Amino acid sequence: MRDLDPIITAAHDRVRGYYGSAIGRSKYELVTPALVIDRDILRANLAYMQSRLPELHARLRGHVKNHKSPHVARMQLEHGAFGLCAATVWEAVVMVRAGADEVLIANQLVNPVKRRAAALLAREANVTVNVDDVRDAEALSAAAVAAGTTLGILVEVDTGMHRAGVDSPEEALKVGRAVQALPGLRMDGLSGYEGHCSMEMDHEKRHEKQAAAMEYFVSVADHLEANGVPCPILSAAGTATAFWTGSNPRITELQLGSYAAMDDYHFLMEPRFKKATTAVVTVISRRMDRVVLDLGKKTFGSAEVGSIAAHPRIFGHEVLKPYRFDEEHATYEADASCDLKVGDVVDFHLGYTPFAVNYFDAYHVVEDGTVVDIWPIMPRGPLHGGLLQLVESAGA
Amino acid sequence: MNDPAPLVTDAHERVRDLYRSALGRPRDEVTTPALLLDLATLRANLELMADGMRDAPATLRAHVKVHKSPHIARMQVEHGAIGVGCATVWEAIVMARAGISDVFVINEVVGPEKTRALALLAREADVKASVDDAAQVDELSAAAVAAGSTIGVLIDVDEGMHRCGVTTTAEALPLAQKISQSPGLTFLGLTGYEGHCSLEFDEAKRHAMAREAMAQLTGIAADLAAAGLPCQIVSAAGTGTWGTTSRYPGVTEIQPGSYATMDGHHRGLDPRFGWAVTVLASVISRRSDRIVTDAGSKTVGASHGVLKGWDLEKYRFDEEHSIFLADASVPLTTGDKVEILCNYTPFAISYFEAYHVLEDGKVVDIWPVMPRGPESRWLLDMLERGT
Repeated sequence: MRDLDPIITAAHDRVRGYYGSAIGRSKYELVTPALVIDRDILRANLAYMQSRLPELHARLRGHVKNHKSPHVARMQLEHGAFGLCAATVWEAVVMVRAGADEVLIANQLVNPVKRRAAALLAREANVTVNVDDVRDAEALSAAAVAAGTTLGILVEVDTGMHRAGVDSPEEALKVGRAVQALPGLRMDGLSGYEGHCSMEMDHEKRHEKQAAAMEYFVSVADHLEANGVPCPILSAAGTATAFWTGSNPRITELQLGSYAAMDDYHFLMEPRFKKATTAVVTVISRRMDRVVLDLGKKTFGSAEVGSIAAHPRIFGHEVLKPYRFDEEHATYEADASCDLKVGDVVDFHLGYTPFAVNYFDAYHVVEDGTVVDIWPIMPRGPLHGGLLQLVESAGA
Repeated sequence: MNDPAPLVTDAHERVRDLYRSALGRPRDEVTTPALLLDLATLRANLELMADGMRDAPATLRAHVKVHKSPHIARMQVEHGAIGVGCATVWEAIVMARAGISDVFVINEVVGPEKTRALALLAREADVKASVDDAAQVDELSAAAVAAGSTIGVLIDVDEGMHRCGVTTTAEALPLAQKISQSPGLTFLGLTGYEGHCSLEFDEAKRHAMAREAMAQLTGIAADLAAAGLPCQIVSAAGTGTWGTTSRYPGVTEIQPGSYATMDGHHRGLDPRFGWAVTVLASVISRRSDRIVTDAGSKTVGASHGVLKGWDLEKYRFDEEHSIFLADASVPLTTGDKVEILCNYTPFAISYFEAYHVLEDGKVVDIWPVMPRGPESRWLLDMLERGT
């Protein structure tokens, strides 16, 4: 792992400058709502995953989209991950600058600026990209040739999630052959995240769906290999399926991410990882039949993932029923037996943390309830925020 | 209106520089996903509201939590708004530095840093906040005294939305008395957003609900006046009820915000206002039965959206993808640009750092979204440094 790039240390300095007055103080003294990550729980999650790696056939590629933290990403690399996985090219830029030598953008890029950014980033690290379309592969090839780099390619296979990904072994072979023949591209194998299994809360049903998805995934690889397209990499899995998929002798790498920072949604499926990321919030209004908090859907995103409840709720008051979630307010039913009052600062379960992480500027890192550091969230938002100019200027 | 301060002009320069390659380019050349603002539609919306308010007894206070844009807020003031409404103290700081002197945090401000920020801001602007509890009054008063400033205070009335707010004169009167006797505070009146009405799409029912809510709000105002505490301000309304509420006797100002940028939810309430803000996305995967775009719930927000110009059923929104059903008869292909009409635009806006501003289909400017995110304590540090 390389050292942190100045863009990461500058961002770290910036958020420490903004929020560093909280360091050394109790998390309950923070200006709320504040995003909190418990470093001991984070380390325990990473250590648990690392302890399970020897028994798994596949290697660990830590996904970063759920935490967007260069600091957490480095800890993933220190705890057994050989590389990282990103949802966007801008996340990939940040994570390479955080020190990763290997990054997979487990997504289609398509946009010409994003293709160019990935091709330029390949000057700094081994960059791999998903494709499911021959024309996209051709354009990636042109971008890599123009940049004088090589992009690793995984053909994305739809293993049942019904998002992107080729629909059949024949289509996979067609795209794989095209990739093989294109300059600037290296046909690395297949990517097949079984995300539909992470929307199945029932343990047995999830396992059945996972097994079916990976059986199909491997059969697609067999078809390519039998037809002269080797697939040295088969990448799949999320936190809810990692130990099953990782035990499949054909799967070579796992692309889970939530295991590190965790949330209530994933905790329902995989309680061996503990919730490291929470929020601290303030009761701003106390009515006789309800309490109102100073965070809402702009902060924790949604109370559901798809149609599944993610359960944003108050620590120690988990029984309180949500009344309504507005943009800047969460309102819970609470009669006089609930002792919450205006000004109380309490811990909050965020439900599904990737949404919250998407909105905050920084994590307040705590140990034993005391703030010990401030970590930046990078990249922030859907725009490139200057990362495009950064990769462009790197080789100039 | 004052000139914008460096906080705002520097942010504008910064995003113009970051996204300068888009300036002068047509919409389809913008890197996706991008937040688009159509200037002509925005202006038409602002003019429509100005026309509608010309003969209304109430004045217009424009809510900014919807757009978080100093530029749009200034245009709202140019189109007749007396000032702005904000959801957070951080928004109020940005809007005051955008040059708008009348800023009202239409929310309970709780916590020592937030009340201190509000009190410090009151040194440079006409600052108002709302309360529904004696503890908040004590905190605001102590902060204002410490800062040597005066904060205007309105009592938040729950007229049926069931969020914050007192419900009766019996609750409001002692609170009003306490405010009027608290150093550093001025009792200004009542605020009562009838947000529950904006969840009712039947127009007749919605306006009846709004009138009922206003009867309660103005009734409490009359009771306070009779007890010697007249309400200088009685503030209410959103985009779904502005027409009725702005003409209800006793209401002095309305506080709508969505009318400027609009979205699917508010177009369902008042379709006279046009869709000024959309999200530009690319089709990144074309399957036999669906298309996948690069704007998901981390971009568009929890309330999702539909595609402009394409009547396609939503299949699913994931974090970084939205998926719409599209058979072979739909001529969309990988790389095509689509615009997502958000059902609720404030979520999308809160994720972006800037708007790509379009006129006649070309990018003419980049405007910052400010403040970004829920934690903006650095704005307090800025006030404390006196910079």
